[in-house]
Amino acid sequence: MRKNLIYIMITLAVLLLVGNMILKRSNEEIPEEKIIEEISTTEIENIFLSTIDQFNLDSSWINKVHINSSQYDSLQFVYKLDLPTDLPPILVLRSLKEQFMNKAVDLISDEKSINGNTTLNIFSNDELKLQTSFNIKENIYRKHAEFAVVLSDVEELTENELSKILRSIIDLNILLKPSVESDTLIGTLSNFEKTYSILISDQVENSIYSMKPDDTKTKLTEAVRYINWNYPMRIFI
Amino acid sequence: MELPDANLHLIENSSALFNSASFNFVRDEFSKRDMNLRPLSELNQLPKDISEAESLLSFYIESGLGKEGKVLVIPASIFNELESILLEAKKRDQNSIRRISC
Repeated sequence: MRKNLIYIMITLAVLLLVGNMILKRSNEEIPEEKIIEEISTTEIENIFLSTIDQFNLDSSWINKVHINSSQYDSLQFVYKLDLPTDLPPILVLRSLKEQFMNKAVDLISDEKSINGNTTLNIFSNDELKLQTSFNIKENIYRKHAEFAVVLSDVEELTENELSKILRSIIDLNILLKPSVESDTLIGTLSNFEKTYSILISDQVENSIYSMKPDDTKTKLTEAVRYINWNYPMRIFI
Repeated sequence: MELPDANLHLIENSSALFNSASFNFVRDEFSKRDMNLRPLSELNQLPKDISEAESLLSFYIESGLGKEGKVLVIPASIFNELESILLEAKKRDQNSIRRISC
């Protein structure tokens, strides 16, 4: 009787152990298979064209040339782009790489010389889907609707905030109220290749630059002279 | 009127000097030294409110610049929020302090 009880208990323990193992296995997460989305030639072309569109190129500089070449049997056309000299192909390539970052494509560029004519091949599944050449042209120019940015109220910023802004690649002109602090700041602006303008306001006071309505003409003239000396015009090249 | 290749010299419209009889004298003193003192209000100032500024900046860049371009005054405190819009415009080579006129 006792023996039977021991057998029953051992059998139960084994059953529980096996059951536990089965449950554990079924609860284990099945690793998700990474699905790489196939990308069609049309989709590649659309992304390519919408990226190119950001660069304000004249439509006559973008040429789609149909081909019939046994060398590139996966290609039915190539693009030939003319770029003005102020737009290095590397900038366009960088944007294209960003746009295709999460797509199942390989971008392989062949730059003939630094900032010179470049060919870009876009592959998907080891098949050449799109080819474009970037040709630098001396006599073409982009049409501009331009703006300049003048940054005001910089005195409200902390040193760190200002330093971060000065590192921006945007062409910035900093609006300064003449003061001892501004006198020292113009050197920093020059280091960051930023320019400045001058703002006369009521906040410019107690300094050689202050100008009040009741000041004598001599005092006003002196203040203008100091501004002229200490904030010289900067000529761009 | 060609702008900078050089600095701008501006005066706040609300300042006591601008609204006084002395202003013309001061402006002439600037002119004598080849500096053109002009009111700040001549430039396009963006508000400090971010959503308003974003909307206005996009408008200026997309459609409101005209052939001659514009000078936009942006409060430094909201520059970071607007930088991405400006960078997009820079890609199109629209942003330059050198060639602008106002």
